[in-house]
Amino acid sequence: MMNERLSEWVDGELERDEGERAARAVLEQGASRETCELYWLIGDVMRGHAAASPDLGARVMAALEAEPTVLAPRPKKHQAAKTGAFDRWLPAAAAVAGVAVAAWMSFSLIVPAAPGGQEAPLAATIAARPAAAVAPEAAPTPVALSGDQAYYMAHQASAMGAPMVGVAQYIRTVGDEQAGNR
Amino acid sequence: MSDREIDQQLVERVQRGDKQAFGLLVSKYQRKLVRLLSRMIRDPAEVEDVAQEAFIKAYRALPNFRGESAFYTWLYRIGVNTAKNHLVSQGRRAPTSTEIEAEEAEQYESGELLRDNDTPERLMQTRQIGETVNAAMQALPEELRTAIVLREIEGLSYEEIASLMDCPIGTVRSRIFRAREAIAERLRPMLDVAPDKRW
Repeated sequence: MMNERLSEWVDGELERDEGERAARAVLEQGASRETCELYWLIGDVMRGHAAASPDLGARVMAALEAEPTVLAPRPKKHQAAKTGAFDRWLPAAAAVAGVAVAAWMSFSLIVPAAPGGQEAPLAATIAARPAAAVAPEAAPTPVALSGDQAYYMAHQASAMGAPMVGVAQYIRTVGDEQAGNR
Repeated sequence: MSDREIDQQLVERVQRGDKQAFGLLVSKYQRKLVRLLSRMIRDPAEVEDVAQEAFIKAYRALPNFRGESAFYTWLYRIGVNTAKNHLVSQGRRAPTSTEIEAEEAEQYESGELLRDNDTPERLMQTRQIGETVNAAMQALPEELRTAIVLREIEGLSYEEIASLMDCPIGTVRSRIFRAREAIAERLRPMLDVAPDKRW
């Protein structure tokens, strides 16, 4: 490395990439390092800093030999830069798959299973339904409640722990209707 | 790329496991740190021990250094704390920062830059180096001397020096380099010692 460049590096007057090159040269080439240390010494002596013991640096470095090498954790942004197209599209694909599964489950609940345990296709099921089935459903037939059931219904609002208001009441009503039908 | 950025560049190298980069920071700041510590501790041998300890503490703490302050400011704090702990462990009172600053100001005003508590050998070496640098400075052509003084003592950038000296920035670059080389030429025979005894 030319000493003129080192002189500029010591003064912090090089551009970043040139500065990187100079730092590498100083660390790898003994002559460049010696020149650089001499320039620092000249500056310090001019500013009136007494020259330190010549072996202080060597003592520090000898003591550091016994020290484990320090390593700072690398920032994660380097990893993000390396991700490929697969990693970029994976979250979007997962979201689409989630929506598809939710939609499929909703349709499964709506469409009744075909006789014999086989599920009929949705279009076929709708087409096969008689007009009466498609017509608005009639109001549920009132079911006669037993004494306990009537009491529970009347005091449902006082029940503790129902996470959704009215849901327990609805379930109970449906349950009672089915019990009445049986 | 400023001086602070150069230090940060070296710090990042150390953080990636390059011990030699830390050696460069030691070479760069050992005299400043020793000068700071010798204002708190009188015995030069103790000053060097504390300086060494401060550098090792800095090395160990370097993975946590994020560059929010300049490297030297951070090293300075470690140095001051290490010196205070040293004085307390010796049963001596650590000087307050105000006392340090007062002494520093006094030192500058009186022009007394060499400490009288160094060993005779150290004083002689320091004096020889100082005299050599002064003699080399006196022998420099006026424009080279002005350029290096404006850079090293006044701390001006090349651009500022170019403006003051009314010359292109390339000329400033060349003048500072030639001045340094002229001084270094005289110092090299004095410092021609084994690599582990470099200044």
